[in-house]
Amino acid sequence: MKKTEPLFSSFFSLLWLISMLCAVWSGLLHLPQASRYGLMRLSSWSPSVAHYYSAAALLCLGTYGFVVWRMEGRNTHRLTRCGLVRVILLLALAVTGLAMILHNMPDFSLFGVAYTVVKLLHLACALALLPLLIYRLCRGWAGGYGWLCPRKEPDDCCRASGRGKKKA
Amino acid sequence: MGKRLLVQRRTFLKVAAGTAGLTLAGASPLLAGSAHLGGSGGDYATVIDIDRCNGCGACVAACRARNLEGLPVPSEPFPEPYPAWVRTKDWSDRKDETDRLTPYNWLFIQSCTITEKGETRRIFLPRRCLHCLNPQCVTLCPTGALHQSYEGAVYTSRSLCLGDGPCDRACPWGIPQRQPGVGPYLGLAPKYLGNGLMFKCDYCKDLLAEGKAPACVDACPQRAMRTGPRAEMVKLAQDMAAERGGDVFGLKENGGTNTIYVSSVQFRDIEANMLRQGQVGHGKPSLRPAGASMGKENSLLQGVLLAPAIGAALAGVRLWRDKQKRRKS
Repeated sequence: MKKTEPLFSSFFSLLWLISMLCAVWSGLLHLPQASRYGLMRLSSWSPSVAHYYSAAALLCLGTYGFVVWRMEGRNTHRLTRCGLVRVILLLALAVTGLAMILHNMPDFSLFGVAYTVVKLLHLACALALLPLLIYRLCRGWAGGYGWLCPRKEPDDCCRASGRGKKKA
Repeated sequence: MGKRLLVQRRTFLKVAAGTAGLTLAGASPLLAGSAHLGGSGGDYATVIDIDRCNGCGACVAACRARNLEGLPVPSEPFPEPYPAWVRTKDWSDRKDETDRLTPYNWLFIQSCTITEKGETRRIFLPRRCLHCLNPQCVTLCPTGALHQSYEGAVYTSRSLCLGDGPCDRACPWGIPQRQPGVGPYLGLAPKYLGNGLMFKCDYCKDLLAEGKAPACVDACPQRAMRTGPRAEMVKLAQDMAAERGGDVFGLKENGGTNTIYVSSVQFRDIEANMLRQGQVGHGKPSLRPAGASMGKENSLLQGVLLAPAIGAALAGVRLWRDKQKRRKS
């Protein structure tokens, strides 16, 4: 079934996985439960620095992935419905993350409830990725496609998004 | 049909991008109620003249008169937090304590005796939240319960605070104070999540938004405190310090604060005397000069912003290599 050459190498996937795990880990360390249950002591170092590095890596890899897909893979690969939801969540994470980075700058602030909305949206999108990943893994084990599938193949993972489905 | 779908998607993307842009620019229709959503802010700062303050306590009384009644009453018995090392300290039976910061006392007079040029004098410092320009407590609050207003007030939203965030540890002066048994955590899983509410001076944000001075400033009979636009107050503080050959605290500390102390005595001397006389401790903040908040993180900004460009460049390299490969084959 999966005869089409994958768009991204396993090295790219590995880098993405490491960056994502690092982002999730450093993100979770921002939650008070991390220090409450002894996962980390906030006084020793700031998880924000690790979060910044992993965000930079994800932005780099994400842009790389998007450009490669756009220029080379658009005609051969399409997003599954799972993949589309994931892309939307990642975009929301990037936008809210960049907004928070800007807020951390000394000369720029998001005031009042705007900052809360941005922050909670970032957290919600990050948490929503987990059930999506579990769902995708389950479908993957069942033999379906993951985030991308070949255009000519019917998407038996999570049903293709409208445009791709039509072309398929 | 395909073209129609494409147009619809393009329209959707345009609308989404526009909304995101407007939100970041501070003009989202969703949040039209807030006048200012983002920007550099119109900070109001308070200059506190230490040489004028005689420690009468009028500011403390005014603060308590304004805030004490509105504070929530804890429900007892308090939930026993898990694990056991999570500390809880009830302040509700010590509401009258005014010689330190507590959840029920957001301003106190810190004092010490200092000998200068053979003359001994008593120094009084009204201490409360300094309302940093770039507060870590706001940045690190996981639930977004701490806010910064356009006028520069840093305040807690009691409907969002779970009371176990890192704000008290993140604050270089340990200003926020915790009271267990109150707040939204009681309705969640109080044993495992949350630990009460964090309280601190809110700079009388409502008064400030109306263009009025905070209650403590208004109550000072010595006129030792003055509130106004930060740029003006900074100049005033610098002029006052230059006149007396004194010192200013709050211009650079933690990246700058909206509470600026001016004194004819150097603040490091005041700090040293306070430490010697046991005036610094829990609820009795120091005057330690803290570096710019989030300085380390902000130094990484360029890297984060450059990352997509690097990704695009790498993709370009890969596309070029693929093209070469295709040509050869």
